[in-house]
Amino acid sequence: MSVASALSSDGKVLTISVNGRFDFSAHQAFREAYENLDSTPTEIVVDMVDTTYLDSSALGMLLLLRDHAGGDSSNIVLRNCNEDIKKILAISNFEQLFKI
Amino acid sequence: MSSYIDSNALDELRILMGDELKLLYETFLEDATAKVQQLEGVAAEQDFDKTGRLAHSLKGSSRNIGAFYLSDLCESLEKSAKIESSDNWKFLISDIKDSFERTAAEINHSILQ
Amino acid sequence: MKILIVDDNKVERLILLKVLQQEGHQVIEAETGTQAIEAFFEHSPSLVFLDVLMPDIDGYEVASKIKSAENSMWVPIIFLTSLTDAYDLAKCIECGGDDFVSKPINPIIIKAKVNAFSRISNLYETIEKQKREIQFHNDHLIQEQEAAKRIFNNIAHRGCLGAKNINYHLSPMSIFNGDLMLATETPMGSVRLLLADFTGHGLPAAIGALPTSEIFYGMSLKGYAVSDVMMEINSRLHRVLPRGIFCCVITAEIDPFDKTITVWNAGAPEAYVIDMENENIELIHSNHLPLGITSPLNFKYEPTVIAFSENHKFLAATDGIIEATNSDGDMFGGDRILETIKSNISQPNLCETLINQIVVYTEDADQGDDLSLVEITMPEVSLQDEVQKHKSQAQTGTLDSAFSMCLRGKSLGKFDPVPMILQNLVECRELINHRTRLFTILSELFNNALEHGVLGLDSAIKNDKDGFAKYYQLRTDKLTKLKEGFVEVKFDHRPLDEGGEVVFDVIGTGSGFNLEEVLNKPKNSFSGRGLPLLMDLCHSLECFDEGRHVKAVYRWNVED
Repeated sequence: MSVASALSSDGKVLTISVNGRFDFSAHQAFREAYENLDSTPTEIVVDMVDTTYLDSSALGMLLLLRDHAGGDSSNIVLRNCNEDIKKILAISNFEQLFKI
Repeated sequence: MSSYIDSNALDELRILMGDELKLLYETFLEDATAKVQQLEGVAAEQDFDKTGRLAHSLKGSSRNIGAFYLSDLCESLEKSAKIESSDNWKFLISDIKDSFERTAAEINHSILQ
Repeated sequence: MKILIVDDNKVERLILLKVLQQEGHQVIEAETGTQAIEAFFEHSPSLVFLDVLMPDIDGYEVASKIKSAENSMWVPIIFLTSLTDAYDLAKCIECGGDDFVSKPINPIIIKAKVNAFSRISNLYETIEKQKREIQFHNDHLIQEQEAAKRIFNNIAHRGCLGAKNINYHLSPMSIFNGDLMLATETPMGSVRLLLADFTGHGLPAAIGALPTSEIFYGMSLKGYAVSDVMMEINSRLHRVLPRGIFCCVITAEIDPFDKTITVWNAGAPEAYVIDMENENIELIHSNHLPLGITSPLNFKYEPTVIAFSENHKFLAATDGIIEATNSDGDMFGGDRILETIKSNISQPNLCETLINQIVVYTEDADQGDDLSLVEITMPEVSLQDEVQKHKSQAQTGTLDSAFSMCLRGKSLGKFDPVPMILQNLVECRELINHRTRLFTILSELFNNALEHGVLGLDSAIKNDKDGFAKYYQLRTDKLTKLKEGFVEVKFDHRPLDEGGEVVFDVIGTGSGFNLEEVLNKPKNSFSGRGLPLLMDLCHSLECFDEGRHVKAVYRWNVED
C-alpha cells in the first residue's frame, strides 16, 4: 500500500493516488495527502487506478476527506475505480456523496 | 638465584590481595601440605582416579600462587594418571615432594616473615 | 551485584573473592555442590561462578539443578575450569552454563566477564520489567473489555434472538468487531430484526451500539414504525459518531397477520428472502447510505415489502462472510453465498451450513469469530398470550381520564399518532400488560380510518402476490398528495369495579366502509383481517355515520 499526492500547477486540483489495498493501514498517509496544503484546491481527485481493494475503514477515510473539503459543498471525484470497488461504493450508496 | 615462586605473579598477587597476601599463602601451605601427603598414599596404591584428582587440585592452587614449577610437575602426574600409566610416578612423586618443600621454605622465608 | 562463587579449592576462592570484592560486589562462597545449591536458593545471587570438579556433586549437575529450578529470573552461570578438552568445555554450556573462564584465575578476565554479564542481566531485567508492564496493561485491557462486553451484552442482547424461529451466529466479542444484532417483538405482534455493522474495530466501533439498541428497543416497544426508529437512529448516530465511523444496517419486520416481510438495506451486503417451496431467492440490495452519514433532512426510508409465508426464510449477514479470505487471498464472495443457499435451500439451519462452508473454505476454524449472520422464519402468533414482562403495580395514573387528538391534511402522512396516544393510555400502570392489545386496537382503528376512509384505498388490492408492494406504493403516493381530510382519535378511560373500560372513538373523513360486508368476507382472505381482530379484542364494536365513525370498547380486569 502507498499513497501519493500531487497538486496541479495552479493549485486548484489535488490528485491523491492510492496504490494496492486501501484499508486502515493507509490511514496516516491518506490524511497527510490532503492536510496542511499550501493552497485550497477546488477539486479533489482520488485516483484508484492502482487500488486493488477498498474496505469500510477506507469508506470512512473518504468521508473524512469529504468533510475536510467542505462536506456537502465539496467537489470530490473517485476516478478509475475497478469493478470490485464500484460494487463496494454502490452497496454503500456513496455515489450520493462522491462523483464516481 | 632460582626461585620457586614466580616474582611477576607474586607482584600481581601482592597488589590484588594487599594485607591478605599472607592469608592466601598460609591457606596454600595448609591445603598443599595435606594434599602432597595424601598424594603419596594414593599413588602408592596405584589409584589413578584419586591421584589424578589430587594432582589436578594441587596443580590449580600452585599455579594460582605463582608456584609454576610445582604446578607443571602436578600436571605431568595428572596426565599420566589420566592414561593410567604409573611408570614414572616414583620419580614424579619425589620431585613433587621435594619441589613443594622448597616452595614452602621460600614462602616461609620471604613472604610469611 | 550479588555473586555466588563455588569452588572446593580455598586458594582459588580467596583470589576470586578478592577480585570481586574489589569491584564492589557482594560475594557468597560455597565449598561443595550441595552448599552451592542451598546458597543459591537462600541468597538469590545475580551471577554464579562454578567450579567443574568438586568432591560431592560436580559443577555440571549443580548448573542443571539451578537452571531447571529458576523461576522467572535468568541467572547467568560462568564455569571456572582448567579443562582444555573441547568436549568438556561444550558440556559446560550444554548443562545450562552460560560461559566459562579458564584457570588459573585472571583478574582482568574475571572483571571483564562480570561486566559483560551485568550488561546482559540489566537487559534481561529491562525486558522482564517491560514484559510485566505489557502483561499488566494487557490484563487491564482484557478486564476492561470484559466489563464493557457485559455492559453491551446487557443492553444489546435482551431481545428475542433466542426465539425458535431465529437462528443466528454472533461471536461474544462481535460488539468489538462493530457487529450488532437486535430482535424484538413489537406491540403489533410482528417481529423486528436489525443487523448492524459499524466501521472499525474495538471501542470506537462499539460506541454506536449503545444508542442504536436503546432506540431500537425503546421505540419498538412503544409501537413506533421501523421508519421512525431508523430515522431516529440515523439522527442520533449522525450527531454522536465521529466522521468516518458509520453504520451499515439491514432491518426486517415480519408481520404474521399481513404475511409480509418489510426489508430495508442501508449500506450492507445484499440480504436474502428465500422461498423454500418454489426455490426462489430474492436479493434485497442497499438503497441508502449507511446510517450516521446523512443529516436527518436527507434521510429516506424506502423498504421492500414482500409476501412472506411459513415457506419463507429471511437471511442477512455482515460483510465478514463475503470477505472471508482463503490462503490464496480469494474472498468467499456473494456468489458462493448464493450458491450455498441454493444447494441447501430446505436446510433448517442455513447459518450453521454457511459457517461450516466458510471454515472449510478458509481452512481456519477461528474464522467464524468474525462472522455475524441471522436467519428468521415466520413467528408463531403470540398476540393473545403475551409474556407478562411488567408486573402490575398498584398505581392508577391516568385511570380516570380522556384524551383526544385530531390530525389534519398533511400531518396525516407525516405523523403516526398511535405511539403517542398509547403512551398517554399506559400512564395508567395497570394497562402496561394490555399494551399489545391496546396498540393493535388503536392502530387498526386509525389505519382503517386513514386508509379506507380518508385515502379511499381498497384492501382487495393486497390479494395477489405483488399486491402489497402496489398497495403501499399507492398509500405513499396518496399520502404525499393529501391536502385535506382528518382523523380524530379519542379515548375515554373510566374505572369499573374490578378494572376499567376504555372507549375509543375514531372519526374520519372520506367514504367510510361497510362493517357488515367486511365481516362476512372469507376468513383466510389476505385483506380485511383488521376488523375481525378488533371484534376479537374488544368488548364491543359499533359503526356510525356509514362507517366514518367507529366506537370500540375495551374492558380490562385487574387480574388480566
